[in-house]
Amino acid sequence: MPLYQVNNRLAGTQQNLSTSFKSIVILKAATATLKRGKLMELAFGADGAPNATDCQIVYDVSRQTADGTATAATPTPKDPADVAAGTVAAVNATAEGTITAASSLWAKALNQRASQIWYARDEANALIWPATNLAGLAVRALSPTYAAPVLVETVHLE
Amino acid sequence: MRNPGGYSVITDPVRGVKEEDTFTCQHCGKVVFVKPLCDPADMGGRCTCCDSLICKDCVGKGCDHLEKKLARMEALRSYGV
Repeated sequence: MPLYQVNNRLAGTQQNLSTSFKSIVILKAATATLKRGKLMELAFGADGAPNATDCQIVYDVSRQTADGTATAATPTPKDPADVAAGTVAAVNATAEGTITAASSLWAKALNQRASQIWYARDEANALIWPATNLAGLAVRALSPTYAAPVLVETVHLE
Repeated sequence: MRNPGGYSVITDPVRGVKEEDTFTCQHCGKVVFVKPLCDPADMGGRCTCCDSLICKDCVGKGCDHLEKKLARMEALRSYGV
């Protein structure tokens, strides 16, 4: 099963963080190519100069059920011989989509100078989204003090 | 832990590198970070119905496997929801 990579430097303009969550990378199913997706790898960290006041950045992965406003990004196949992704990706949201309440699958607070990478060992431990139009996962971030962009990279399998 | 479901590395310029095993709750799909040598009760539990690791929030709530939840979400699409 092919792997695809998406990051928020692929398209659009990186958005500065604020005190409310901003969706950085959104992966969702689309009616034309309906299939489940499995998030296997997640990496993120600050993509700007650290704030003079030490602070945290909170990262979150939650379920999304409807679109907001974001820039479409084409997932890049890890193997160039693989077909184009059926999953639709969007990055650098300027308006949030509909996030299911209490649906956080991942929440981590890191120092603004820290970065993290996570791998799922197998498909059973991946973060899975259903084969339903516009349903997917939104990787989000907020910070009370750090007001610059973050870089989020996802690798998913479908 | 033996047979972790995932692996996390946090790199901090002050504190260095922190590595943690993880697993994904098979009921709600949440990623659980496992502290080395922690009490197993602190990291969640094992569902005796589906025989899989679950998070603390899902312990004691019966078995509602993630696959069943996904199937319900996908079933809604036939109603145009």
